[in-house]
Amino acid sequence: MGSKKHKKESKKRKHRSRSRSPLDGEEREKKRHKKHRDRKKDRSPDVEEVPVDSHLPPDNGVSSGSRSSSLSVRDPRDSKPREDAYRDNSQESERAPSPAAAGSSAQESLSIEETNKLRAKLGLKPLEVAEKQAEDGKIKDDLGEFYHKPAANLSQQRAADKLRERLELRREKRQLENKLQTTLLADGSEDEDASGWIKKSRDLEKQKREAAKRAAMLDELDEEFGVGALLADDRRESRERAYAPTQLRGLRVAHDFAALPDERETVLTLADKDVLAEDSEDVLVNVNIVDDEKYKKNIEERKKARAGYRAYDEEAELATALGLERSVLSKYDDEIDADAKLRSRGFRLGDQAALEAERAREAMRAERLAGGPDKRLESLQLPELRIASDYLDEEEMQIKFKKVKRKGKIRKKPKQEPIDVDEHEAGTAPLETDDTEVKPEQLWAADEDEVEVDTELQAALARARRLRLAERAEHKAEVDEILQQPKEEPPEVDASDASAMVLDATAEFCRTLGDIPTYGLAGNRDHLAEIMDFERDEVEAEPEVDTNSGAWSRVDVDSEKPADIAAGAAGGLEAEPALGAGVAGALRLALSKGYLERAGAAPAPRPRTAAALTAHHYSIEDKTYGEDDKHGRRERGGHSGPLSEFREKNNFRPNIKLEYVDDDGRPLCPKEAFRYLSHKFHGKGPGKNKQEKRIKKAVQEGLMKKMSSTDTPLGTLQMLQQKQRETQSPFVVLSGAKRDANN
Amino acid sequence: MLEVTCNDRLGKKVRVKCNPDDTVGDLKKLIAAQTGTRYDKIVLKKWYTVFKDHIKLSDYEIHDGMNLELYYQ
Repeated sequence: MGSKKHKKESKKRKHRSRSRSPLDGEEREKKRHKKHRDRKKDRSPDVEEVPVDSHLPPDNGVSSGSRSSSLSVRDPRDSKPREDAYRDNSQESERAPSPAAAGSSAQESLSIEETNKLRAKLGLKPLEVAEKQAEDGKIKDDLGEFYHKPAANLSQQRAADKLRERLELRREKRQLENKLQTTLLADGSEDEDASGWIKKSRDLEKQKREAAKRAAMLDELDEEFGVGALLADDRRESRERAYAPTQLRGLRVAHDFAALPDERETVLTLADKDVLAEDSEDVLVNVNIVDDEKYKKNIEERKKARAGYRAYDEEAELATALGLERSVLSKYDDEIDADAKLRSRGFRLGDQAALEAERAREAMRAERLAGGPDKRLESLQLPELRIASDYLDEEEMQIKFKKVKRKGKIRKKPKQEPIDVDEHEAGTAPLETDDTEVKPEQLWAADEDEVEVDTELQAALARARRLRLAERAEHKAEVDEILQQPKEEPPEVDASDASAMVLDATAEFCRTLGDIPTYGLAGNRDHLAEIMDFERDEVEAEPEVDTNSGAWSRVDVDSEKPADIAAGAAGGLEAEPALGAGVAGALRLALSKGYLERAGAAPAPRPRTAAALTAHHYSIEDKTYGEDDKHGRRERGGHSGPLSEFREKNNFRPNIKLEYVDDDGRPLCPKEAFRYLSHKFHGKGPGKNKQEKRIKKAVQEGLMKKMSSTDTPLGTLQMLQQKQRETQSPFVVLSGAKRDANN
Repeated sequence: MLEVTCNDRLGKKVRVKCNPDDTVGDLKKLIAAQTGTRYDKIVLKKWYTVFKDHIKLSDYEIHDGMNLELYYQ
């Protein structure tokens, strides 16, 4: 690496030396000398650049002129020896042709000495090499203006701290040792060894035995003189004297009197009390009763907590209504000064008066609760409110209502007076309209659900009509007069006698049903015919009101032939074809029964029988109830809505088979159907080619269907079989066609 | 004593030792001595500040190890 670099530098050097004109002649001379010397020294000028000391560390290398100088800056104290070293090296560095080539870097720097020389030549003062150290150890900064306080040595400080700490610790330890200078237990005791200890224990044992012996001896002496019994008595007496019921007088028992079980001994103990309490008195308690009370209290509190927040608690409401203070969130209520309450609870031993008073109070309370002979306790609590339900619950289901027996008609006609025709003036033409409140609205308002009402209505109508007929006979003359009057009576008035019609549910049903095929066949329906006849008799003049009145269309009974009941079979279902002899008969029957499907039958043929079954006198308009009819609405007084409730047909499952056929009647698959409809919709059919293609396809399909599955299209098999039959052989000779044909 | 580096970025880079109380002119003479350029052709700059000849280095706050731009005029 070195060689390459140096080659480069040599070039540079040449260049530089050429350009260096303004240098002092003297210096140049000197340098030339140097060069000369170098050349002398070195054998080959090419290898010259490769420094001899390239293997040396760089600090005393050729190029380190600047480096050495910088070193000398760093520690100017030993600049002398360095400079000496430099001088030693300078001989090597002098090999370099110019100072510019001195460093491996492009920098050139003169040493201090050289610089000083230069400065002297330039008339400048020499470099201030040594920085003057201030006497007080403070260091001046670069410009010599400010003094710096030397930074504290942290490591020294830390070491000092550590030392000081250790010293302190030692001192403290010493002090403690001085303080605790006592003889240890082991040091002071004498029985250091086992033998000493054994001896000691034996001594103790001996002393004990002697003492026991002495006591026994004394006891014996007492027995002899009868002192023992005396002593025992004495002791008991003294104890009794010390502890009598009187001693317990005034001591408080912290339980209610009732809490103490009767007829049983209860052991009471002195309750624990605070040592520091000033006004503490001794209280007797029973541990079990205390536990019970605590348990009860806990339960109560838990109950309260479980109840939670009840904003509309009834008890609370009641309390507020009575003027008591209402407690909010009472579960958080704590007894204030519960201790005081506890302290006053219970009773005092020997305080008979208080006990009696308590007992009396109890009795009074019980009496009040039980009430007097004329008192009855009644709770103000109302039955709990419940949300009303739409459905019966089980309890309600079980309740059976007593069925009230209906007596006669419940509904009475509100003030229906038969119209007195006499009251009317002749000019008002009372006969012109039927004023017996039989209005068409009412007629068509008659619903099948209100059959009962209808019968009532019909009865009333019939009565009125009969009355009218009777009256008309009487007032025939009047009628004539009326007829004379300018206003022409419509001709129907007279003719209506016969064509009057009565509507009731039964009649309507019969008519809409059409002819009942089997009706009266059994010959047991004569009475019904009678009824109908009767009705026909009863029918009376019903003047034709405007035909446009409502959506109700009238049926002119007379103009139509009444249903011929006897003719039964004619109108209804087809007669069942008789199962005659032969397959044809059977097939016909099957077809009629629907066992067989007629080939090429219409997709949804509407049987003739169905047409026969539908009502002839039925039109859709009949059922519209005149919803958008002003007349009807006015009559009903504004509350509109259908008179029969809307019933959803839950069980309506229409059997729909959606099929499309094309113009030729061929069934179409959905795809084709769509195409067909689409063509129709857009009014633009397929092209000619497409149409031909489709026709061809259809024809092909037809052929395919017609094709025999057992034979070829040309009937080869049949021919073969025929041939075999002719030749009476199980084979056929296949040979030349012509010869065979000739044969 | 301080040492400044002057670079003309054309191949000349010199380190010059000088005193803080030298003037810029003195520094230029020293540079001229080291590089061989005439001192009156030298311009010393730091960014856009052209150092004037009669002012001391310390007044320009030129410290040890600073780099000065060396231009020619």
